[in-house]
Amino acid sequence: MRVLGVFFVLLNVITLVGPVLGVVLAYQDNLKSMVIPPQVENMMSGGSFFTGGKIELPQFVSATPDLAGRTVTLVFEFTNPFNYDLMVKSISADIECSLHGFTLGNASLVEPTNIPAGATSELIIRCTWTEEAEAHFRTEHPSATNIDAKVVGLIINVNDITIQSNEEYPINVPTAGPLELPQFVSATPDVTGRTVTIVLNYTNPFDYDLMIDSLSADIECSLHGFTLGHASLVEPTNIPAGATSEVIIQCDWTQEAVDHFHAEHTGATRLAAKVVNVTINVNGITVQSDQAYPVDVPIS
Amino acid sequence: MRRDVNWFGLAGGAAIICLIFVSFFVPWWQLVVGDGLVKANVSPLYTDFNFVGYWFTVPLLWALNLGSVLSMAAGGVAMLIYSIYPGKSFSNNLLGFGYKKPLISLLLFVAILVVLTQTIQALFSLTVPLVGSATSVLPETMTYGTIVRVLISANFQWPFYLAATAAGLCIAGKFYHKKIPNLSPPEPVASSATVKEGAPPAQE
Repeated sequence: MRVLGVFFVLLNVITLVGPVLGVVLAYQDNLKSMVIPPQVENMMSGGSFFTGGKIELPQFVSATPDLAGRTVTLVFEFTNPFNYDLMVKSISADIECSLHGFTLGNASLVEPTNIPAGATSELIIRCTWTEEAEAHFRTEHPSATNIDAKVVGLIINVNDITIQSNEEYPINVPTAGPLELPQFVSATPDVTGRTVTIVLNYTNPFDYDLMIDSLSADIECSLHGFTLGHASLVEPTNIPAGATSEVIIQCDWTQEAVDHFHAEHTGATRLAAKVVNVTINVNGITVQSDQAYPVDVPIS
Repeated sequence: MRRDVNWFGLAGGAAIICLIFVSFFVPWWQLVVGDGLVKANVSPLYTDFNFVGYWFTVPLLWALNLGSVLSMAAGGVAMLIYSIYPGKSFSNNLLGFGYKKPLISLLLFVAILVVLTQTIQALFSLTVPLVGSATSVLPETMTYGTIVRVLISANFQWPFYLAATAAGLCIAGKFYHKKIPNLSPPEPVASSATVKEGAPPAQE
C-alpha cells in the first residue's frame, strides 16, 4: 500500500508540474507569450483585434435645423473597428459658440444605436437651443446662417462603458436665422369682391429646400383690429435653397367684414390690414407665429 | 450478499466528474465589463477571456487548468473506485487521495480570486467586485486624460456551487467511511515482535 501512496504523490506532482513544464518548453523561445498571448499584444498595438484601422472619431455628415422645435439634428458617421457589435446607448454634450464661448444648448443621442462589427452607422444627435442661444444668434450673429461651434463635455455610453471626454470637437451648425418676414407683393380681389388673393415673397435663407405644405391665418383690419376673414395657402409651395419664391394665399371675407367695410371704410378702395395667427407647415414642421404681417388689401 | 458502498463518496466522485465536464462550458466565476464588451470566464479547470468579441486564453493559465483537470479527474476516479470497494486494502489510499481535491480547488480558487481583486484594487484603484456590480473609473494614465467609467459585474455561476456540493459530498464520504461495517483491518505494522503464523511458540 505504500507503493500506492507513493504513486498518488507522484501523480499529484506530475499532473500539476507536467502541463506547466510542457507550456514552458513550448514557449521557451518567447516566455513572455506564455503570460501575454500574441492576441493581447496585437490588441495593445491596435492590430488584429480590429476589423481594419484604429478607432476614429465620428465623422460629421450633416446638420438640419428644426425651426419649430429650436433644434438642430446632427448626423455623424461612426465606423466600428471591432469584431464586436457596439451599442451606443447615450450621448450627451454641450454646444458652445466657438467665437464667444457662449453655451448654445445641449445635445443628446436621439435613440440607442447599434453599430455592427466592422460596419459604419449613423449616429443622430439632436441639439436643443436655449432661448438665450436664439438671442445670441440674433445679437452676435445677425446675418449668419451657420456658425462655428464646438461640442464640449461629451459623455458617451457604449455598451455600458461611459467615456467622458475633455476634448472639444468643432462643428458647424445652422442657426435659426436670418429669418426674414415674407414680403408683401400684391393683393388682387376677385369679381365677387368677397375673395382676395395675396402674394407674398419669401427668401429661403437655408442651404436646403423648404416645402410649405399649408398655411392658415386671419386677416385683421389694422385700424380697428376687426377680423375680416380667414386666409389659407392656395397650393403647396417649394422654395429652393437660397431662392426667393412667391407664396400665394387666398382670403375670404366674412359677411361681417363686408359690413365693416361699408360701415367703417365707406368709399375706401384699399385697406391697411395685417395677417395674424399664422400657422404654417414647413417640411412637416408646424410653426405658429405670433407676429403680424402687414398687407394692403383692396376692398369693393 | 450485500456489498458495502460509500454512497456519499460515490455521489462525490460522480459530482467531480460531472464538474469537470460542465466547467469547460460554464465558468465558476464570470466577470463582465460593460454589457459584455470584456468578459472573463474563470474556473480552476478552464479560463478564457473575451475582449470586444475576440476570445483568447493565457497559455500559463491553460497549463495550470490542465493540471487541475488531470488532478481532479484522478481524484474523481479514485473516489468512485473507493466508494464501490470501501473495504479493500487500497481504499484508504484512494479516499485520502480523492476526497480533498474539490475542497482544495474550491478554497484555492476563492483565495486567488480574493487576492486578485484586492491586488487590482490596490494597484489600479479599480473596484472589481467578487459578487455584484460596481462602477469604476479607469486610471487616467490608461485613458490619456479621458474619464472612462466602466460597469463591472461579477458573479459565481452554478458550477461553483456544484464544486461546493462535490466537496461537501466527498467530506461526508470521508466521515461515513468510518461507519462502514466489515472494513478490512488496518495493515499490520511489521516489527521484530510480530509472531509469524505457523512459527513455533517461544521457549519460556
